[in-house]
Amino acid sequence: MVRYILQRILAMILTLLIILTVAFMVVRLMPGSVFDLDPELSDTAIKAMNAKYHFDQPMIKQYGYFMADVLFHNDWGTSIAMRPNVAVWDILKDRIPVTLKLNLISLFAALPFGLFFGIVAAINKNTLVDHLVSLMVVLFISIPSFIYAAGLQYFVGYKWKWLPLIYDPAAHGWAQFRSMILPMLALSFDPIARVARYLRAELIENINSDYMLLAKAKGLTFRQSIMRHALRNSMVPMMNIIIPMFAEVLSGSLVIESIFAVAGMGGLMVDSINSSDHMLTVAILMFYSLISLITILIVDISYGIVDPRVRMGVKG
Amino acid sequence: MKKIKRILAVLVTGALVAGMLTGCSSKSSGVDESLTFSEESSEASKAESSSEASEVSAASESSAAAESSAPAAEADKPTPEGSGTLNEVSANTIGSLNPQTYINSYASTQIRRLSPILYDYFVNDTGDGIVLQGEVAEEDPIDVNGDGKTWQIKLRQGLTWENGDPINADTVMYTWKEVLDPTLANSRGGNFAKDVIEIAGAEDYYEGKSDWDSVGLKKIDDYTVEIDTVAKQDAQEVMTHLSHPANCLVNEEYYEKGMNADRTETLYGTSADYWISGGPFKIESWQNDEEIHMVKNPNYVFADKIWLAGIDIRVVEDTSTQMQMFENGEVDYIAVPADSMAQYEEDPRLMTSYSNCVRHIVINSADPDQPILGNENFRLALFYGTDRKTLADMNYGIPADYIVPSNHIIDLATNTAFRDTEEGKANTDPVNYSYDPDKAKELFNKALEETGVDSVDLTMIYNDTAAYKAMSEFVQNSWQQLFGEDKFKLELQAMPSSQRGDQVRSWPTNPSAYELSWAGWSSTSLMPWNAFKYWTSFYTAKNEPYINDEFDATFNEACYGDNRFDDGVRLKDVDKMEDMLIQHAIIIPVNEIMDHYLKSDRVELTQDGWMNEVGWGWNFCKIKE
Amino acid sequence: MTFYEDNKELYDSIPAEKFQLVQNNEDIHDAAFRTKPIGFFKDVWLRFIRNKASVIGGIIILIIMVFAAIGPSMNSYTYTEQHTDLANMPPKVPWIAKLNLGIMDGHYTLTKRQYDNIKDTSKYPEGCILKLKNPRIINGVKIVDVVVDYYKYKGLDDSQCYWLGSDYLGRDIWTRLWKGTRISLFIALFSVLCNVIIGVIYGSICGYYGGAVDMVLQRIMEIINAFPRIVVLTLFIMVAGTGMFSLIMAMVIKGWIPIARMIRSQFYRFKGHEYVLASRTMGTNDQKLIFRHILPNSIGPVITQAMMAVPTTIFSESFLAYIGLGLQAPNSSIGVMLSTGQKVLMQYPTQVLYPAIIISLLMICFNLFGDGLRDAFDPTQRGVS
Repeated sequence: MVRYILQRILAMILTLLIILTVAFMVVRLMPGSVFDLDPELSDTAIKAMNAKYHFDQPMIKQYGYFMADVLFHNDWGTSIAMRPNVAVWDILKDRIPVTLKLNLISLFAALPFGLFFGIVAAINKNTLVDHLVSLMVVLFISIPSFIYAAGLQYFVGYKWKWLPLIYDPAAHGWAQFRSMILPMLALSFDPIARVARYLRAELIENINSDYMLLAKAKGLTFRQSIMRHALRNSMVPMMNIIIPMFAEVLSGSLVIESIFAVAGMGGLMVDSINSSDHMLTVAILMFYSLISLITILIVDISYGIVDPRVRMGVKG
Repeated sequence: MKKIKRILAVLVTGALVAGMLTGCSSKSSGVDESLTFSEESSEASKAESSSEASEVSAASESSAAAESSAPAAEADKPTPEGSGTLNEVSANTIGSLNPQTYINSYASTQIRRLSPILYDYFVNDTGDGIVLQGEVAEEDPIDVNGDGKTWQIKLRQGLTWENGDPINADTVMYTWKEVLDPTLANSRGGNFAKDVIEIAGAEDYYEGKSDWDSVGLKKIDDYTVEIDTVAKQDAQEVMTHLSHPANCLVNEEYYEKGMNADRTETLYGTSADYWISGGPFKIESWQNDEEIHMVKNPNYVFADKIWLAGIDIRVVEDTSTQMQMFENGEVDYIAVPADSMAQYEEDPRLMTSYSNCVRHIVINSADPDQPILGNENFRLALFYGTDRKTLADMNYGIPADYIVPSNHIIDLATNTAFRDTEEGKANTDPVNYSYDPDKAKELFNKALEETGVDSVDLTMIYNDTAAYKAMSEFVQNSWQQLFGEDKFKLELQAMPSSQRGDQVRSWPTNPSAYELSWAGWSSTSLMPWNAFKYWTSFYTAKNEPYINDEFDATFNEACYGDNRFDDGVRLKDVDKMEDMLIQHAIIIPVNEIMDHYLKSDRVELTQDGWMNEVGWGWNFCKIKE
Repeated sequence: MTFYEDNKELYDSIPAEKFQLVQNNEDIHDAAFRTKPIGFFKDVWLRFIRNKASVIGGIIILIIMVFAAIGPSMNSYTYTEQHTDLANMPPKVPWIAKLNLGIMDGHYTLTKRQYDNIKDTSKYPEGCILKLKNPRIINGVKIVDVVVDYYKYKGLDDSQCYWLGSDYLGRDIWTRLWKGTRISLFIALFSVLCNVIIGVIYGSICGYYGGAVDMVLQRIMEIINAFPRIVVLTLFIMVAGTGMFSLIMAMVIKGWIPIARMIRSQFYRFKGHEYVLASRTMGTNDQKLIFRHILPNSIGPVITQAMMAVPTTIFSESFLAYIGLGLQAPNSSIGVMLSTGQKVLMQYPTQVLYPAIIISLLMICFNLFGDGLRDAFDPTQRGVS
């Protein structure tokens, strides 16, 4: 098992290196230099700055500088457009916590609801409750999140004044949490719906299986048999969708962040691409890639633990 | 069957939502005459208790009107701490407060609020005009030798940064040395070396070709500095040059604190740790890209003009969120985007100002793949075929068939706008704004004949914003209708703004970089001649391949010529340059952008409306509690 | 048996002659099927139409497609026709307006109007004002919200109307909506088709050859997959420029991966089966083994997955439009309409409502339709949704 995990981690590091190269190439090949933001900038200034950031050298040399800095000095360069002269890592350091906080809390807040609705719907299959849950799932999945976000903000925040309109970064404790409720709600609709929908299907399959008949025969109540057997069996495949969901929620929060004025990673990504802040863009790409690789790794390893065939069967 | 019901339920819900959103209540006949008007309070907490507000009937004279016009009895002088906090909202982030590297104009506004500067524009004592006067400088620069090339600036004594460190000649010299430093390669260095005035030896030093001693910047004593210029200048020009926000003073201690080992960059102004204020306000707390709290700086030289206790700025990207914050009373004023203007057209809180910029279509007239763009008749056909009135109405702007914006002053002494002069009026068509479809068609057909082509197929690139998209779609449609879709076809291509700008400006290396695009230069409103630098052959970030010796000569005469101060010379030059660009349709002016603001009743401006260079004067406003 | 044991004597006493053969003049064989034999697709079809929800999903998709085809020509407007003086008109359908439901009647609330202007007929033509709401005083000026018949307010007669309103350039939203649906569906279906082709070929190669080939191809797939979808879409459009072709390409970069994965696992499942081994022993070449013997097993899952991918693609397109990198103007798509509508959500909610309804319907129906197809192709998976 340890060997398998080591193998996977090694493969991941290799993948990351390749991604780093690809990201660098793609970002540098993109048209647009950094210094055209201000038309008043003189030619002299542009020349001086190009030399400073190695932009006047051939691509392969730039790549050399970049890789050496990243690998040997853990230096991701400095931002040149978004926050001039600030180390890229320092910018990410400001942005990552709020994004993680918002997304993790909303994902974890969504899970119990998703599980609850899934179980309720499965137990009451084909009753009114089931159909109401299905309706909710369909609505949550099929309406774009910015519609919810704008609606929540307008009604809950503006019309009824129950909650703050925007996220408040300066507040602490309860006051800050209150300001996070609306963006969290808007973010959690999709996970709730997907978890509920998937769990319902899994549970229904399990409820109809033979071992549930056995559980019933040996005298367990319906509730006991669901909780102890069916649910537990359904949770294994659930991990397969819940963990990658994290990576997806993370990259999908862009619109929500913009509406609720959260200075998170989504907005930073679009802004840095738009303003050709190359080093920053590469670092953001790496951040997202790392998250997505880690989730894949966790899923793989957990499967490897649960199901030895995955370990053996990878080789053709 | 159950699932069918489910779908039906979805549809019904959809219909209900539809009903809710259209928000039309049942019909009521006619106008209800017996309306009761009540005072609307901008405070969120008070909005609930409308019964407390004074009620007046529509028929009787409004007492509220009288109330608001009567000035509140207040002390004539602000206290050292000031009173009331101005709440602002911004879609932009600051990026950096370092005046020598800042990126956007929003950042420059904040830098000016927090940093001392030698000279700046202020509202005069009566509140009805502006003066360019010293802030750190005690008085206007002195022409020591009388040849207009050596200028001494006396500094005020006793000025300090917020921590009590003195602001003196060393501060100024350090600032100038760093902005030009060749290893730092600060992006604002080039402008300091040469813009309105050219400082002797500065450009060479900035490019690393000479050493600091050869630069014409000297410290005379602790409170006097000297500038050597290349050409003959007057005091007004020296002050204008130094009043650019990029020339705000920096603090040596903190500038050095943020410097890296090989002195190639500094963290000055990137976070509260690397910042010290010396302007009207100082930073109390600053969370990058989120919010900034400023409080009044009692050490500021004109602290007796600052009424506010502080300014809070929140970064909010989404404009409809901004609107809701304003209506909720969380923000004191906001800029209204054109697509929301329909809702606020008649709002008494609406304020409109010039934005100092004429939006125009740029043409790559030297494109080898599209020789028709080089045809003057074709360009004129586009010029006369542009329906400026409609385009301006779409954006709540002013139709413009001219280049110098309406607020640009040609004669400071009489405060005469160029557009109000006879010369300025002669260049425009006040009725149709040079929209003449018949003439356009005629010119278009002539151009086709001259170039020997049957049809034209062009591409226009535009910034991916709603306003540019709408305008591009409109000109596409109207030109195609006008010239005939079989003869004229326009493709549209959206791009992020930095990418578009770069593509347009890459024509010197790639002659067919673009065909048509949009642009809008803004420049200082008190020197309309200076604004024509964008079309001279020596301007480096030119949009269009326009090279004309006569134009260059006219520009040089207006900016540097020995006779430029003579009566009417600059007026004539500005008129000539504008005429040259328009007569040959080098660019196609479309409209003048107007800025619209909503201001809460809570804020009282201390000046008579919007003014050139100082804007609305938010820094000097009062808060009514 | 016990029956015989118990009554052994009785049975044995019956003489053998008493037994008679039922028939002895013909061979015995099974009776012929009364029904016709059912092929694979017929079987799938039969199972599919039993699932009412999926059928309805399919029908709604068909209806939307029909409207996408004929909708733009149902009124006199074209999708680029501009009437800038009639921008942002509210929806009006004459026969619905007559029902007094409060929807689609061309009414609109003008907010924050000065009360003193109300009687000015040059501003408010005779009879256009329906109701005054929220009287209040702002900065000492009497302000009301005016509910107007917007068509009369703009001086139009009853004959002219925009069924779903008009946009910021006075273009007919009905026409643009269906035109946009057409383009969105085209982008989605075409990119899904590309995904299927690439995914099937790639997955087949991985799955069939296995070993080192699989290892390398898997790593490539992993690398592409590690880039978040939104990042890939954004970067690609930035490099390749906006336009329908680059949009489709952007969707394809990562879109084929799930299909390739699925095909690969199908291959692993089936390539060890006896019938494949038998065929291989008989000298069948690789190509034939792949396309004749193994791949057909995957048709069901591929079709299902492709159907599920359609709405996701439409969502991606609307995301790109939201950050300003959508289709080239003046073309419309659901995404373009959603993002322009969202910007004026507070002023003109209907401009975002209709594209939102269409995208939601498409999402729901493609999901239901896909569910039904999966159940139909693989009855053992029934109920798993």
